[in-house]
Amino acid sequence: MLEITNLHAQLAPASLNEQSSRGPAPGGEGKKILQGITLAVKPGEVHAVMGPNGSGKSTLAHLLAGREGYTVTEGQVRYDGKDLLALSPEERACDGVFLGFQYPVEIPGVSNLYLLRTALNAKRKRQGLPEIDAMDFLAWVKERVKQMKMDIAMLHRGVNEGFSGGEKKRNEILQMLVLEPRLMILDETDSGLDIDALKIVSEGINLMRSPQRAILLVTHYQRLLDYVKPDFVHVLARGRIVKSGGPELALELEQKGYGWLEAA
Amino acid sequence: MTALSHYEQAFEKLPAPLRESRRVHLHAFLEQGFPTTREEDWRYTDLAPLAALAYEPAAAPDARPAAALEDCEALALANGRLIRGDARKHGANEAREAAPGIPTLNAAFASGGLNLDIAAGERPQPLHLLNWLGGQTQGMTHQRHRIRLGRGAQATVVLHDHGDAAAFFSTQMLDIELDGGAQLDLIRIQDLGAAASAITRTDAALGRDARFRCLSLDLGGALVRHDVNAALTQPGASAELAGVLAPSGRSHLDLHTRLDHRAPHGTSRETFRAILADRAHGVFNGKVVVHPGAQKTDSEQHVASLLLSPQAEIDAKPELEIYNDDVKCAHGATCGQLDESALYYLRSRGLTLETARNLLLFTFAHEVLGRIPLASARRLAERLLLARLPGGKALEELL
Amino acid sequence: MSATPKDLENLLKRREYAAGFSTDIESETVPPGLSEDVIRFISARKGEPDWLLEWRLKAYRRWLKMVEPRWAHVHYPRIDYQAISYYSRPKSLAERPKSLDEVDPKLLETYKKLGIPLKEQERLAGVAMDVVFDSVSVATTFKDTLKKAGVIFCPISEAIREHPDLVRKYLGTVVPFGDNFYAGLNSAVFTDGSFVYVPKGVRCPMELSTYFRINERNTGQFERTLIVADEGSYVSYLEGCTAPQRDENQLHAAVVELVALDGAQIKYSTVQNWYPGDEEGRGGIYNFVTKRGDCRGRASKISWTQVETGSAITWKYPSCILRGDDSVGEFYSVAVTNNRQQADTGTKMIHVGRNTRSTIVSKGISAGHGQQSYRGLVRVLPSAQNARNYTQCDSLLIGGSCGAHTFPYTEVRNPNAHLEHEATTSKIGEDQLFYCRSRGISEEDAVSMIVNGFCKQVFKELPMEFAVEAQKLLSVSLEGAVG
Repeated sequence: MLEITNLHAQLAPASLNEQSSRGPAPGGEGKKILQGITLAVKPGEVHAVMGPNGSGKSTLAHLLAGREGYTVTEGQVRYDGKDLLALSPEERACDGVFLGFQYPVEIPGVSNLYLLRTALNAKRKRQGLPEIDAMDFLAWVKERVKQMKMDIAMLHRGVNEGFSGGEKKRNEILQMLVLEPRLMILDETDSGLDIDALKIVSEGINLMRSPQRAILLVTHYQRLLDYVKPDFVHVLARGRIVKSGGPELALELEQKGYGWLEAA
Repeated sequence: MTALSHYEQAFEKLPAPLRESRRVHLHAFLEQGFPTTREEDWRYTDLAPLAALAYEPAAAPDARPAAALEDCEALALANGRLIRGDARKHGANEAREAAPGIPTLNAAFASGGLNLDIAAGERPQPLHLLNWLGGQTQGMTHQRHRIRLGRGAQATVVLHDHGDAAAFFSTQMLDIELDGGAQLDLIRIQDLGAAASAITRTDAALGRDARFRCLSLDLGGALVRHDVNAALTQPGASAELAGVLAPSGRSHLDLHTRLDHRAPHGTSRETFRAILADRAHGVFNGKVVVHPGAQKTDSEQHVASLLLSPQAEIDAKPELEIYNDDVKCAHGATCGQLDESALYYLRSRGLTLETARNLLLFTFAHEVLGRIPLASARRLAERLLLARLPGGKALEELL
Repeated sequence: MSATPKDLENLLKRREYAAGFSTDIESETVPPGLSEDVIRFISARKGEPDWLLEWRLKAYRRWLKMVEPRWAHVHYPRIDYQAISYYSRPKSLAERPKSLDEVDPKLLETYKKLGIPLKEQERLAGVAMDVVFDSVSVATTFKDTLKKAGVIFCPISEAIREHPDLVRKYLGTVVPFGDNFYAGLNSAVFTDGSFVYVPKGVRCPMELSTYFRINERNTGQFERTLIVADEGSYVSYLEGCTAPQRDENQLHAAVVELVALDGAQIKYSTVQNWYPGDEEGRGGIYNFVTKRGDCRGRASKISWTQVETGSAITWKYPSCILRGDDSVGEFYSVAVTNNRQQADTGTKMIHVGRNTRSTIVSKGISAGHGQQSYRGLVRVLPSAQNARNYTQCDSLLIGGSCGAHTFPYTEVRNPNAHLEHEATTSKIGEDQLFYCRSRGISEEDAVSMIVNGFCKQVFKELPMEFAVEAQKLLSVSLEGAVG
C-alpha cells in the first residue's frame, strides 16, 4: 500500500523575504531532516513510528500528507503503486490518505459540519460518485459524533474554534471516521490527552482497523500502543530508522529510553 | 503673519555664522508657518493661539532644576544652557535637514541640547537629563538632542522636562540612531508648568536587531504635543512605546506615535493609558506602517482611556497601514470607566470612595509605569503621578 | 507539488465579471457637461415642482464652490465633471410604462441575464423591486400588495409628483446638499432612485429592493434614495448594483437618506457589484456614495449591511446619527478589493442621545494589488450619557502586493461612554489552507471556505436570499470561478 524507499528530505530553501509561515520553522534552510527512510506498509497493518524529539517523525508525517516547505533530495514514496509525492495534498486526501494533525488548526466561522461535507463530497467527486444526500450525511456524521462521545452541537461550531486540546484530537478522529481513509497517519494524536480521552481516541482508531486499511502511528510514548496494538514498531533517530521490531520494542523503549539507540 | 515676521526678526539676532547655515530652515518655516487643524496630523490640536503670540528667545534664567536620580549621571540644563554636568554631552546639534513645519522652526533656532555618543559595546551609567524650561513669560527655547548608540551599546536616558509657571514655548527635537544590536531605554517624564507650550518630536532609526524602548509620562503643560517616530530599518529590530497621559486643568495633550516597519521580522508593541480630568483634552494617534518587504512584522497596539469629568475629552485613533501580506498586526482601543465592582469591593474592605478610585486609577496607569526598567526613574514617575491625584498623598505608601 | 503563494495569486487573477455585458438599446442622453441649463433640463424632463428646481440650483451653486475631497486613501486621475453626461434614459421609457408588459423586452432581457427576472418577480412572492436603468426607474413590482399595507415604494421622481409633501419634508434633512462634494453634485443632478415611506406601526410585508444598473457610456449615475420609517414601523430594504464592462471610468455618486422615527427600524442591505475594472485597472466604476441614517426617534434602529465586491474605487461611509434616546446603529461590512481595486470605506456613528448603542463589524479582504482602508468615526457628544460602542475590524490579506489600512477615529466627550475597538490584520492562514487541503478540499474551495468563515458575522445579517448571493459573489470576486 505504502512504500517508502531511501527517502531523504531537507527544509526547502527560502530567502528571508519569502519565508512564510507554512511548513517548518524558519531558520533551518537546507537542514537535512530525513536521511534515508525505507518503510513498507501493507493493507491491514498498524505501524508505530517512535523516536525522540527532533528525530524527523513529524516531518515524515507531513511529507506524506503533502505539506510544503520540504525538498525531497533522494528516494521515493509509492502509494498503491503511484508516486505519492507528485500529488497535491487534496489529491492525496481524496485518494484515501489521512493525516491526524499534532496541532489541529482553528478555522473561525467555518462549521465542522460544513468542512466534513465539503471534504466528503470532494472525495466522492474524485471517485466519480454523486454528492451525498444531506439527510444521509447528517445521520452518518451524528452516529460518529456519538462514537467519539462528543456533543452534537459541536458540528455547528467553527472548526476547532475554541476547542480544548482533547476536543481537537477527538475531532481529528471524528473526521477520520467520517472520511473513511485507507491510509491513516496519526501524528502524536495521543499527546495532551488524559486517560479517558485517550481511550475514546483509541477506540475510534480501532474502529477503522480493517484488512483493507493501514495505520501509521507517530508517537513519542508507548502509552497509546497499549490501546492500539501495532504489528510493527520502528524507531526513528536522526532521520533514519535505527531499529524495527514487534510490539515488544515499544516496551523496551519505555524502559530504556531512546539513548541507547541514538548512540548506536 | 505678523507673528511669523517676529520670528524673522528674532532670527537676525542670532550669531552670523549660525544665520548663514540656518537661513534655509527659517525660510522653510516662514513659507509654511505653523501647521493648522486642516492637516490630518494636527486635526485635534490647534496651534493658532500659540502662533498668534510673539515669543522671544529665553534669557539665562534663575533656574532650580529638580534633584538628580541617585544612581544616574546628571546633566542639568536651563533653557538649553548647561548648568551642571559633563560639557561634552551638551551641544547645539545642527540639523542637516528638517521635516516641514515645527522641525524647521526648531532647526532655525536650536540652542543647546543633549549630545550623547556611546561607542560600540559600551554600557555607561544611566543619564538623567534635568531639562528645566521657563523663567520668562513669552520666552522660547528650541533644543535639538542627539543620541547615538554604536553596535551593541546599551544605554538608559531619563529625559525629564520640568519648569516653573511661566507661559513658555519650547520645542525639542530628539534624533536617535541605534546601530546593530544597540539597546536604548528612553524614559521621558514631562512635568512642565501649567502654562507651558511644548512641542517635542523624537525620531529613532533602528539598525539590525536594535531595541528601542520609550516609556513616557506626560503630566503638565497647557498645550503639549509629542511625536514619537521609530523606523525599523533593518531586520529583527524591535520597538516598544508605552506611556501614560494624565493631563488635568485645561491642559491639551496630544501624543502621536508612528512606527515604520521597513524590514522583515520587526516587532513593535505599544501600550498607552490616558486619564483625563477636569477640562483636559487628550489626543492619541498611533500609526503603524508596514512597508512592502517588511515580512513577518508583528505589531500590537493598545490604548485605553478613562474620562473623569464631563468636560474632559479624548480623541483616539490607532491606525494601521499595511502594504504586505505576511504580517500579524492588531490594535485595540477602549474608553470607559473604572470597574464598578472593583470599586465596590475596595469600599467593602473599608476604603473611602476617593481612595478606592485613586487606587484603581493608579493601578490603571501603573500597568505602564511599572515597566520603567530603572527603579529610581520609576519611583519618580509614580510619585509625580500620585502628586496629581487628589488623594494621592494617602497612596504614597504604595510606592 | 502543492500551490505556492504565486499559484494563489494566479488563481485570483482568473476572475471574470459576469455582469459585464451591455445592452444595445436606444437612449436619450444629454450631451456631456454640467450647467444650470442641464439642471433645468433634467428638472423639466421630470416635471418637477419649482421648489425642487430651486433646491437643485442652490446645491449646484454651492457645489461649484466646493473642493473634491482628497483625504481618502485612494488614487485616481482628476475627474472631468464636464465630460460626464448627467442624464440618460432608454427611449422606450420616454413614457413610463404602466405595467411590465409595456417595458422594452430588451430591458427585461438585461435584468434576466443579471438574474433578476422581473416578470417572474411579479408572480413569485417575496421581494418587491424597483429597477433603475441608467438615470430612470424602469419598473416597480408588487405595488398593489404594498399599497394595501399603506407602504409607498416608488421611484423618487414619481414620489415628487405624487407625494410632494412627504418628499419635501424629509429630502436633504439627513444629507444636506452642502454636506460634501459628491452629495452636493448629487443634489444638483440626481435623476432617479427609490422612495419608501412606511406608515406608523406598519411592518412592511416584504423585502423591498432596488436594482441599479449603469448601461450607457460616459454617463454618471446619480440616484437618490429616501426611506422614511414612521413611528413603530419596520422595513428591510435591499440594493444591488451592476454595470457593463467598459474601458473608461464611470462615476456613480448616489445619496441615500434614512429617517427612523420613534421605535422605527430600518434595515438597509447592499450588494455592490459595479464593474471593478480589468486586471490592469482599466475602466470600472468610481463609487462615491453618501449614505446616512438618522435615528431621529427614541428607541429607533438603523442597520447597514454591505457587501462590496465591485467598483474600481469605493468611497463610502454609511453612517448613523443616533439622535433619539436609546437608539441603535449598526454597520456590518464585507469589502473585497482585488486586482487594482481601491476602497476607502467604513462608517460614522454619532452618539447624541442618551443610552445610544452602536456596533461596527468590518471585514476587509485585500488581494492582488487591491488597496483597502477602513475609516470609521465614533463620536460621543456630551449629551450622550451611557453611550456604548463596539467596533471590530479585521483585514485578511492575500498576496504580497495588496494593502489593508485602518483609520478608526474615536472622539469621546462624555465620561460615561464605553467604547471598545479591536482590529486585526493577518494573511490568509497557510496552516488553515493546508488543513483543508489535507481533508481533500481543493485550494480554491479552501480559500473560499476560509474567506466565507471570516465574513460570517456579516453575512448572517443579510436577508437569506442576499446572503446566498453575497457568498457566491465573494467566491467569484476572489476565485475566478465564472458565476
